[in-house]
Amino acid sequence: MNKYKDEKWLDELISGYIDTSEPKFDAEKWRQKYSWEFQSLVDRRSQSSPEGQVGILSVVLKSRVVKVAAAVIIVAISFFIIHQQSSEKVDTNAVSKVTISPTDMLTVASLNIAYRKGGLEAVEAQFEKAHGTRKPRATSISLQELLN
Amino acid sequence: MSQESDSVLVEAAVNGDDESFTELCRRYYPAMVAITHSILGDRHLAEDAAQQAFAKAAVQLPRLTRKNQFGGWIAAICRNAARDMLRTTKPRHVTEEYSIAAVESNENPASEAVKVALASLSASAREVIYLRFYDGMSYEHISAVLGISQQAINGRLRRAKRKLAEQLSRKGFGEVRL
Repeated sequence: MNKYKDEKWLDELISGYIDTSEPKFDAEKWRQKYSWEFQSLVDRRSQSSPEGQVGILSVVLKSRVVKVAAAVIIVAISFFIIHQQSSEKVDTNAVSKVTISPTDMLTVASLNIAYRKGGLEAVEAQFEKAHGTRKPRATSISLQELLN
Repeated sequence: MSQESDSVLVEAAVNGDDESFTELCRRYYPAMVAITHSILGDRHLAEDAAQQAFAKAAVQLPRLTRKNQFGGWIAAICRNAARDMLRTTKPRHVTEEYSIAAVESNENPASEAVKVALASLSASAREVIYLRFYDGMSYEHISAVLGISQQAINGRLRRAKRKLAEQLSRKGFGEVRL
């Protein structure tokens, strides 16, 4: 057991020594005494944004969730753009191959594309074009035989 | 206004709202005077140091990143202001950082004994004694100022008072129960 448990006498002694009356802050006096510091505080009012109007950038920078969401959106858009560009590249190559090489013009895929674009007439035109580029031309082989 | 949280008031003060800053000063002034008094040992000097600290805070407030920790931040500024003042004013007698200038004055023996006993305490122990005895400051408020738990404050206060009681009882004060 603590021999100083009854602290009333101690509290009275300390209270008697320390001026325990609550000090009051005199704002007016302080403003006059520290006028430069007070002015620098008030001057910040003009530097800050008007009340109620909050900049988008400040909102984005303050919120972690918004930051993460913005990052995810940016990454998703970048990924989409890159993917689009790469697929477009492949298609262009395919078309150029079809138009350049007669052999490629006569593949099932190329003929299928031609049929979808213009029916049997387009297929025939593609054959004609392919044959037109081939030398020497085999006159004795019919279209039917060629397909078989 | 008085029910606004510290962080709301700090945010407004950062944007130049002087009324919010004044409210923060009113809220923390007694605690800050208690802290500076525990270092300087003089009430008038303590009030000057606390006011000086608030002036520094008015300028440096935008640097405060954790707006809800204004109490601990202003307390640190106050301690520095009081220590600077202690160096420049050079009181007649200084024990560590604590002035016992009035020991030789015409105060009564009990006050003198308390003053000497307080001077023997560590700065943090003396600080918590002053905070507690300034108008019976609550543990909650002291906790906000010192940035430690109420339990820790209770322990620190108990140890400080025990040390004071031992010293004072040796000099014939108090009711020592054996």
